[in-house]
Amino acid sequence: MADEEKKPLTDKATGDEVRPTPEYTEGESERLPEPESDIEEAVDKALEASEKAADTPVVKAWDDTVKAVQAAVETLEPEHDEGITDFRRPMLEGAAAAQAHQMHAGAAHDHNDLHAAFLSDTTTVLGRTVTVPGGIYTVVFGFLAVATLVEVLIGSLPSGILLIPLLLAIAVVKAGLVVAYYMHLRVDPRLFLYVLIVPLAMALLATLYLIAVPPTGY
Amino acid sequence: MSEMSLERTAAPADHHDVPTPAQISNAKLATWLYLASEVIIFGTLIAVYLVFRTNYPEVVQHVQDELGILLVSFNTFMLLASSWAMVMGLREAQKDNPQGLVRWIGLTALLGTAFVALQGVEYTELAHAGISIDTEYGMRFYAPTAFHGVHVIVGVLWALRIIARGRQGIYNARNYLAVEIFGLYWHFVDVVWIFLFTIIYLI
Repeated sequence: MADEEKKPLTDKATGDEVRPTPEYTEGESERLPEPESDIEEAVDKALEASEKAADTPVVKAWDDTVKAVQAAVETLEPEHDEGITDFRRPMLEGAAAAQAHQMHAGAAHDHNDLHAAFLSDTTTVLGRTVTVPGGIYTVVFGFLAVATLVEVLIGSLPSGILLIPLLLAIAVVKAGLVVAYYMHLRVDPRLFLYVLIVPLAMALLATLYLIAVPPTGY
Repeated sequence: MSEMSLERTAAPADHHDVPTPAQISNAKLATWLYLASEVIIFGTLIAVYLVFRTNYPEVVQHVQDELGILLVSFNTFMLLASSWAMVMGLREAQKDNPQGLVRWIGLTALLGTAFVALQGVEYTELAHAGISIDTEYGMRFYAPTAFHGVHVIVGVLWALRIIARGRQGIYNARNYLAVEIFGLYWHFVDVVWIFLFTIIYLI
């Protein structure tokens, strides 16, 4: 070190002597300004203490633990596909799940084929293979028409306490058929179903509350 | 999924209307979110009706006698049939048959128009029976059914636009997103009617 200081410093590229910056005095960066207030002095002391504490075995052990947990979490997270935002991932996963479900059932092998099932004139209804123009769409329409007829017949019966739940149940089944087959929720991403179910549940809850509350005070 | 992606991206470059899988997912999700807001609006109208129905059942019963069930049942059948025609139209587009699409969506629009027309006949009958919008029951009956009717009218106009674009040959097996989006709206309006029919006319 002592020898080096005696030799003039030279620039490696040009070989010119390097002179110190005029305003710079040796060791300036090491010297801290004198603390101007009690607060600054306390802060300096606290920083010194924390630097010392960082070298203690307890703190090192804590650091190691945090690193181990981070590493473990990273192995749990699925790899992000390049160019796919988190926003789209649930939809893709939903589609993949629907696809996997269908593959398990031995049916279509990709999302295109899932929709392609709606294009066939042949469909399976309650275990039977049926061929009609329009396939599943026409079969669903048949169910809807018959269910409506049944509803009207039940509705014309003398009113009984069981009729209301029965009529509502038929309406729910009809709506379910339209949503599942005509609106394709049966094969489309699950996210769409949740988007429908949550506000529906809210509206139902609010309605039940309003019905339970007396119209005018107690 | 991967095959669909390949097919979409391999579409000729001059087909600027062909949507990407991301556009399809986004457009459908946006439509479902819009329909979710409709759930709350119709939920409010139905809730108000049900509260009245629960507290004053005798008034409601009287109105149901005035209405008769035949007309509205036929109307319900027509709306269900219009939903069937809607999916059949989409099916033709997916089968690369634009003429079939135009024919089926034309039937959808026709059935929707007939539904609104019959609703007008029904309203006229009710007005003669003295049930007007400024009666306690009237406002609770007309608000949900008329609001639904407005949705059907909007749907018919939307169908006419799909027909006009379909006649230009815009929709085919690669590009049917706009038809599917319209279908989501139309079927939702149908689902709302399934509940209105049961709750207002049958119960």
